[in-house]
Amino acid sequence: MNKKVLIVLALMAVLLSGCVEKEAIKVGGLFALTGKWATGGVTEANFVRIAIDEINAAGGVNGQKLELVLEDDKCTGPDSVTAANKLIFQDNVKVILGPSCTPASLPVAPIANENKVFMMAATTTAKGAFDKFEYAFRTSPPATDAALFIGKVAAEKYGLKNVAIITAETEFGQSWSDEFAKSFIAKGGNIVLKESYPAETTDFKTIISKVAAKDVDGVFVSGQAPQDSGIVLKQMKELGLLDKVRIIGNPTTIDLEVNRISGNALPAGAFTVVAYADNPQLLQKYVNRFNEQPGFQFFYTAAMYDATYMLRDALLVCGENSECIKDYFTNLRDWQGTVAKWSFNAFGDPVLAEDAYREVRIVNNEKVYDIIS
Amino acid sequence: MAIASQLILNGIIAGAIYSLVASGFSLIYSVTKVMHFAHGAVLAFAAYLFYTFAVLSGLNFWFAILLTLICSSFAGALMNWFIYRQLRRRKASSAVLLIASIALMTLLNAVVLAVWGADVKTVPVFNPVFDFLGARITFVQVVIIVVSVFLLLFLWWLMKYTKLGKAIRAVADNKDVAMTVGINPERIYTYTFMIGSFLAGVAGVLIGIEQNLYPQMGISLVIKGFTGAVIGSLASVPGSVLGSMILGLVENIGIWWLPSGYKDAIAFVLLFIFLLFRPSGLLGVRVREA
Repeated sequence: MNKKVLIVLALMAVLLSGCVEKEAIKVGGLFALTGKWATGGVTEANFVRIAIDEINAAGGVNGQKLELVLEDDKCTGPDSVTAANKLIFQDNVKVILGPSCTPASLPVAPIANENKVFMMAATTTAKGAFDKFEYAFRTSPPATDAALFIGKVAAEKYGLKNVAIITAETEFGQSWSDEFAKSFIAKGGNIVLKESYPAETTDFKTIISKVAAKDVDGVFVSGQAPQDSGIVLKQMKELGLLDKVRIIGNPTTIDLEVNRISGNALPAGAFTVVAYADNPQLLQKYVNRFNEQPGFQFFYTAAMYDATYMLRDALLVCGENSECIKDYFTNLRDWQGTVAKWSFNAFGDPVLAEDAYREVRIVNNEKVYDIIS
Repeated sequence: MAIASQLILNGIIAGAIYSLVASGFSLIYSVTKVMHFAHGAVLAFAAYLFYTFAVLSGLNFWFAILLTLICSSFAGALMNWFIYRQLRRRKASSAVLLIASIALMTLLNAVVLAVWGADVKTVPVFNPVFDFLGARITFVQVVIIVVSVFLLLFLWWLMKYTKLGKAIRAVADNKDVAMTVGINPERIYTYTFMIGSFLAGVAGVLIGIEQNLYPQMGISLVIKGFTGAVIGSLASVPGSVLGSMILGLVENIGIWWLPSGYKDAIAFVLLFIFLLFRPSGLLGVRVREA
């Protein structure tokens, strides 16, 4: 008798506990927690953490908490594929925030697509990255959009005529340098020399000597990460090239981390064009939580905060039905976030307003944003 | 003229950096016959130790270097005691020793990553730039060249004129014969790993200052050092330094005409040429196997 009562009570306890606490929704997080892109990847993951904590504190999604299952993509193809397979087949996630960068995102998109797992990549700017994969979206506008403005500013504002390109041999580095070259040539400029290097290179002195031997008034540096861009600029300074040319860069080059690594080599005139976000409250939340500034361009990393909230709204509508989530994002228009008003095109790319872009320079170790006229 | 001298100087600087790595690698190989790829990881470990002592702890610069070199030497000894000696006792083949060295490299890289994190570390030093025959060179780069030449001379003196050097050479030539005259090969192996890792420590400090610190910094360096050693002679320290200098010059002069993306390709084409046509290297002695 007593044994039966105990069993019934135990079963009731299990059932009741189920009523109180619904099973959490697993959200895969694929970010570079180590490796060359850790500066950006950790920041992206941190913005997701902030958003998930806020969402859970506010009751979650229809009473279900969000559980972040974080994996390290190291910003490399092989590592991101391994981590994505683990998230999809072992953890059974239906949604992934990340991967953290172009080299990691490109090979994961077909895997997510084939398995009908929704993914929202972070700093992924290669042109046409997800055109063939309907389940793959990204928060970063493609390099084409910002590079168009970089070419315009270089030619029209600074009157540059002859530019050399030093670019990392990666999808990210090449797409920025290619798109810059197109827009600069369209504005009447010339690309005098293009030199590329494997991303792990640390000796750029002969590349810089080749550039110095040409009659150039500008150099476009398209590094893969602050690490390589920083050493390029450090060695440019040592060889005296920074005094003679204007430095143009992709967003990983004109950055505070690059300035630190290069020993404050970034000249005040060096510029890039980035999607711009002005949200001191969100910035403060980050500083309060992690006791440091975000590690990379604010828009690109903080966009993952908005992505997490957009995903929450999609989960509210769709549950964990990834096909429905994919359609939700495809049809999303003017969703007001903290760093942008979000809409997505048919290829999973964000469509930002033209005035979302700013010229950015590093002056006295601080970022200065200028409106592009 | 200025361009030519800059190119040659770039090549010499690169060669000096490679030779800092190659000399220790080649010393260890010539005596112990271990392809010690973890040498690159010891270099990275030493660079991070130096960063910890000099930047984080604020110790005196020279004292920080001394501590780093002591620690890196003992790291080499520990690797020998705990890994390679155990494998030698089990009569491990050279393939097993090679795999162990790669595993050690991966392990040590992971430890560096876990302890110091992934972000790039810098060691700020006073580093003025000089003009030399129309080319530009920094103070740190001058130090790298001078130190690599000094270490070569030091090793030559050590091997040629000291009792330890003679014992090392005896073990390198024939371990069994060396034992008959009372030399303990295991002790010599330990000393060799300590000297080799001391050289890795010197390389770590200088390259860390020159090229910044990141956890994987030793991997590409040990590959280039290995390439330089094969060109000069894996079994000869002067050969490995000569090979490294040639590698640095050929790479840098080569990419003046070729796209710079071919830099590594130039190095490996050179490696294949030597492996195919002169596997013993420029200063190596051809040995006919019985």
